[in-house]
Amino acid sequence: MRRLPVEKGPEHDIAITSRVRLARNFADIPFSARMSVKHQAELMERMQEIISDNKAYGKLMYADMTSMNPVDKVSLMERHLISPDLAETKGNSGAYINENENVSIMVNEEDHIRIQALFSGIQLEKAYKVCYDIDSIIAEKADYAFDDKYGYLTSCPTNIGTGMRASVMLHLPALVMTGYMKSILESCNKVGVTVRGIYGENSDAVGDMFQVSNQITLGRKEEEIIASIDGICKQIIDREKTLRLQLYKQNVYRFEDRIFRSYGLFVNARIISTQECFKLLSDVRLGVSMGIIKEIDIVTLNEILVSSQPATLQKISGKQLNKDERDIKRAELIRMKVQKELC
Amino acid sequence: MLCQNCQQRAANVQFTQTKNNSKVDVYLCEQCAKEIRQTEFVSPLGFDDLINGLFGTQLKQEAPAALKCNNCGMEYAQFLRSSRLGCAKCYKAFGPKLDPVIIRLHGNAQHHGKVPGRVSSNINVPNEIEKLKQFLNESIQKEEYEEAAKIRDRIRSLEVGE
Repeated sequence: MRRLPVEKGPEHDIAITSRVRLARNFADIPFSARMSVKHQAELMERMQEIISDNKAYGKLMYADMTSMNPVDKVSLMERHLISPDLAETKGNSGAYINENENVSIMVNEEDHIRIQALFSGIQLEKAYKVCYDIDSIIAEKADYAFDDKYGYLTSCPTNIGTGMRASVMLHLPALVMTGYMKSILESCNKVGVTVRGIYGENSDAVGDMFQVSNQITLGRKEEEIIASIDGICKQIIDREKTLRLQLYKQNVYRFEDRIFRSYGLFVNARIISTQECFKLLSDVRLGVSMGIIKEIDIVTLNEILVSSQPATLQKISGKQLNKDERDIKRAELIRMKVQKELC
Repeated sequence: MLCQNCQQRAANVQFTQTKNNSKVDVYLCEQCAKEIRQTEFVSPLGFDDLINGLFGTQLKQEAPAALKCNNCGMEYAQFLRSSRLGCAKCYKAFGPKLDPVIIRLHGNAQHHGKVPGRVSSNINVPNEIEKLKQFLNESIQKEEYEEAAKIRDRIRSLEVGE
């Protein structure tokens, strides 16, 4: 199992990942709200045929939601390879995932298919290019539900048009500490950009991480949407960097003390809850990003961010763990990863 | 920004509270949000809240039970409750009621993005040419000549096809 993301994209210390997803539906099959079990099976079969028929996608592994155990499903969600909705579906659904674990095609989610690509740092254009190509290959073999006026038709009218959601996950501790996050949320809302927690819709913002994404999908070209999210994120990153330096200069000892206290706890604790882990990770990430902590790399922190979450932690351990056991295992995992880095 | 409830911890959750039919945004820390969520607050603001808010007025004012999609059998009233359409044809069946909502959601109702290869032959050619001419002018104004040349070629091919 790979831990995402292993590469280092531009601004990867603040922009954890860039993600693009396209929602598509077949013209002749009802949408999820009106789908029968037979329709679901037919869609799965068609997709299987389309995927197996074309080598251009690269090698894809199929994760069958119907037979997969809940821990594995949630672990895929924690790694952002499937959506929380797909992890919860009980019907006939699944996802095709590539070997690098940065491309996935979900089938029978809220829409018939959702094509997704995920890269480290600010790389929305690259993510869109990957989705665009997969989409074009599928379109050669399938008739999409498409309308000249409304574009790609989706189950929910909030996704019509491009069917595209472009999002960047940002780590913004200085903006949170100084209280600027509120004005960022307000200004983003005004320009049709949403800021949410790390698992998207309805999820809380934890560990000072926020997902910035487009709200409007109709009436603008994909490239324009990508460019606007890209531009907004770069502005937010610049503001975050300026504030980090200001905070540091204001009181070097206090700033470093906070970072090193968290670092001390992070690498020495024997019991760490998910919530505490997120909190400590935020301070440690800030320290590494600013060069205050030199011993560990951002990639290691990305690995810990993903693998320390409840389901993935159990998957790594190869057994079910209760909350207390997970908190101990999490602390062990952090020590192991950090020590490996120090050696 | 501090949590508006405890005034101690950093606020990192945005809530929308409904009071006297108006929505107020509240910023809370995770701990307060969790405690309060179970009692007086609605769920965090998501697309569903937004869309339900938009359809809400229609839900109260009208009883559009008669409006139904002949293809999948979805009734407009059902759609108002779930904000999910039943099939591609629902967009046409509910068109007159849906169009204003789409405009409120997206600020417009005309797709300008990618067109799938297989249906491009079925699109409304005069409309497409008109749209492309608009793009062509924009590209020329922005001095994006390479893009303009591509659009011009596309217009020509569509005109020849006509």
